[in-house]
Amino acid sequence: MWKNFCDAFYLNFIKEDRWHYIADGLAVTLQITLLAALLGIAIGLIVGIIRTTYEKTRKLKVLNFFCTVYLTVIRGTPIVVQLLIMYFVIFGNSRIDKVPVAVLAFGINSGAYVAEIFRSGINSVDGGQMEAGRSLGFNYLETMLYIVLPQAFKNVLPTLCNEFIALLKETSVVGYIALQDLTKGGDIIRSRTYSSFMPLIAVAMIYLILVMILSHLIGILERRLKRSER
Amino acid sequence: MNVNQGNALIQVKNLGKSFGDLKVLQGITVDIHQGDVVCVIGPSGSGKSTFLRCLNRLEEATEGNIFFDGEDIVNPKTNIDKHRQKMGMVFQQFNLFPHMTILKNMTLAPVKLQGVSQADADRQAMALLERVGLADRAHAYPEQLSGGQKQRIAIVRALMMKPEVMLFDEPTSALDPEMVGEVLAVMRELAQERMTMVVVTHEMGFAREVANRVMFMDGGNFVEEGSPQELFGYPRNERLKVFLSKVL
Amino acid sequence: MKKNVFAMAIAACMAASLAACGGAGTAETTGAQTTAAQTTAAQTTAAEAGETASAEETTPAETKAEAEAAGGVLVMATNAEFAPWEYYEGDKIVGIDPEIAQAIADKLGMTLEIEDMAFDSIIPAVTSGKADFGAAGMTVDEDRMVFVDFTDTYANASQVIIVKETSEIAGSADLSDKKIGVQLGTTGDLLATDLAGDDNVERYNKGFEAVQALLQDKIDAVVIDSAPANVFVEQSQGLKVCDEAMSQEEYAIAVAKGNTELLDKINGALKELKEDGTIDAIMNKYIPAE
Repeated sequence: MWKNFCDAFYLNFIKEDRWHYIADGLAVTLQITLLAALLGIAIGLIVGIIRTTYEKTRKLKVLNFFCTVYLTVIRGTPIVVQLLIMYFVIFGNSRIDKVPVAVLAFGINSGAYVAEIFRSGINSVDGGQMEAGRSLGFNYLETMLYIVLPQAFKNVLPTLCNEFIALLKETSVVGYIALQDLTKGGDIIRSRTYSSFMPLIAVAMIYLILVMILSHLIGILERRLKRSER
Repeated sequence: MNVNQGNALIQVKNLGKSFGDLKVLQGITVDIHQGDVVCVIGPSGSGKSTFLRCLNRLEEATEGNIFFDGEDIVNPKTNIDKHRQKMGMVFQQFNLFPHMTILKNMTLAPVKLQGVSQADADRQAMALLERVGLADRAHAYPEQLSGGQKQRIAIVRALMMKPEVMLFDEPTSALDPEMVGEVLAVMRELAQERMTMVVVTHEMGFAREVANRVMFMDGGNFVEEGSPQELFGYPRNERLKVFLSKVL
Repeated sequence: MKKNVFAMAIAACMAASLAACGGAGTAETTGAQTTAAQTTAAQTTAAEAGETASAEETTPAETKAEAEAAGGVLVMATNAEFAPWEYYEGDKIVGIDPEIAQAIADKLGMTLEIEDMAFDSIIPAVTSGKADFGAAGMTVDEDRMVFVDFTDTYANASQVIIVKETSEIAGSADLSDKKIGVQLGTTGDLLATDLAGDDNVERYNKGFEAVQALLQDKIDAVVIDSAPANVFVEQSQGLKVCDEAMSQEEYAIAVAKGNTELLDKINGALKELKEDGTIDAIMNKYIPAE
C-alpha cells in the first residue's frame, strides 16, 4: 500500500521533474488571480459608484446605461466563453502574451460582480453620512471617497473575499486558451502518467490551501478594521 | 429689538418645495440677519426640517430663491459646496463618521477643503474640544461616546469650518432627556458669541430663553413670527395657541 | 501478425525496463505482466481466430442473440475532435474509428455506445472501467502500454508539422525555439515537448484550437497526426503540411490491462475485418488520397 503510494508519487511528481508543471502552474494561477482581482476592484468601484449615483440622484444616465449593459452581458455569459472570445476574437489576429489576456477576461468578469457588491455596500451606508459630508462642503465624489466608501468597503469585505475565492477557483479554466495554470499543470501530468488520483488530489489540495490562506488573511483584515471603530 | 436692520445674511424669497403633487413648503419669504438666533417651531410634518434643509440645499427647492452671501443658492449653477463650507449643519442623528476618531472627524474637512495644515487643525480641534469638555475623547471613536457627547462633537465639527451660520435640525430630539442639557448649554454659549443660528427644535424653554426670533410653521409656511415674549406670551394665531397648549 | 506480436513484446519489455530504471517496483511487475499477457493474448487470438470466424459465419444469428442476452453493450471512449478518425456530423459521432468499432461490435454481436471525452481522459476511462475500450486514433506507445493493453494495430500514421504557407519552417529541425501548438496528451504533444522544451509548447484541449491559434499567428506551428492535419489544411486557407513525417506510428485500440477476454475478441474481429477488406474500405472512404 505504502509502496504503491510512493511509486505513484514518484511517477507523478518526481520523474522527469513533473512537479514543475504544478509549481509553474501555481505561479500562473496566482499571478492571474491577483492581477484580475485588482482590475476587478478598479472596474467594480467605478461601475458601482456610477450605478449608485444614478439610483440616488438620477444623474449619469448615459454612463449608467453602459454599466447596465456591461453587467447584463458579463453576468449573463459563462466565463469560459468570455475567455475564448477575448483570446480568439478580440485578440484574434495578434500574437499576445496569454497571461494579460486572461487577466483582462477575468478582471472584466470579476468587475461585474464586484460592482454589484460595492453597490450594495454603498447602499448599506446610512444616508446621513452622505448628508453630513456634503454639509461640510465636500462634493459628491469627495464624500464618496473619504466617508462613504471606507464604510462600504468594510461592510462588504466578507462578500468581496468570497468573490475573490470564487475568482481563484474560476481561473482553473484558463487551460482553454492553452495557458498552463495549476489545473492545466495537473492535466499535463495526467496526460503523461495516465493516472488520475495523484495529480487531481494534489491540485485540489493546493487550491484548498490557497482558499484557506485567503480566508484567514481576510479574517485578520476584518478584525483590524473592526478594531478601528472601537 | 436686536434684529439687525442691515443686509440680510440669508434672504429667502417665495420659497416653495413639492414632492410630486404634494406641496411641502410654499411662499416662504424670510430674512435672517447676522447674529440672529432663529428658532423654528411647529407640529411635526409642518415642513420645519425641509425648510432648514433647503437653506443649504440638502433639499432642492422647487421654486423661489435663497440668497446667501449675495448668491442665489437655489440656482443649480451655483457652487453649493463652497457655500456649504460657511453653513455648519447639525443633524438629529449626529452623523459622525464612525470610521474616524473624534479628532479626525473634526479635522478632515478643514484640512481637505480649506488647506489648513493637519497640525493647525489638530490644535484648533483640541481647543474646541477643551471648550465643550471632551478633550480627553479626542482619540476615541464615535461608537464609544454617549449621545450627548456625540452631538457636542457634531457641533464643534461644524464649527471647525468657521461657518457664518449654523443650522440645527432638531439637535436634541434623539437624545435621552438627561443629555439634552449638555447640548443646549453648548448652543447657548454659541448664541452668546453672536453666532447666527437657525434652530428647528421642540425645546420651548431653549427657544424662549436663547432665541431673538421664534417662527411658528404650519402647513408649509410661517404663520406667526416674533420675539419669544410676543410669541409665547401673546399668541394670536389659533393654530399656534393649540400647538402651545399641547407642548407647554 | 507474428512480427507485430514480437514488436509489441519488445516494446513492453522496454517499458518495463524503463520503469525499473526509474526505480518503480510496481511498474516493473506490471510491465512484465504486460509482456506475458500480450504474448499469450496474441497467440490465442491467432490460434482461435479461424475457429471463431467460421463459427460466426455459420451461425451469425445465434451468436448475436447470445451476446445480446448476455447484456452485450460495448462502451467506446473517444475524443470526437479528430477528423477524419472521429468527429461530429450533426449530433452523431462518425469517422474511421467509430465505423471500425461498429464493425467489431457487429462481429461480436454487441451494441456499441460511444462516449466523447477529452483525449487525455480516454486511458483513465478505460483503466477505471468507465469504458470498455478506447479508440481515438491512439498511437501504440510504451508509456501508454504501462496502463493499458493494445490490440493489433489497424492503421499507420505519422506526426506532421502544420505551418502557414509563408512560413520558413520546413521540418522538425527548424522547430527548436518556435512556439508549437499541440493537443494535450497526444503523441504530437510528447514529440514537440522533447523537441522544443516545455516552455515553447502550447497545449490546447482541442486540436482545432491549436490550428486556429496558428491561423491567428499566435503560434508558429502545430504538430499533429497526419490524417487530421490534412483535413485541417484542406479546410483552412493559407496552411500547409511539411513533407517530413516526424514519426511512424501505429494506431490500435486500448483495453484495460489484463482484460484478455475482450482483447482476444477484438483482435479476432479485427483480423476478420482486415481479411475481408472492411478496414481498407473504411479507410478509403475517409482518406481517399491514401
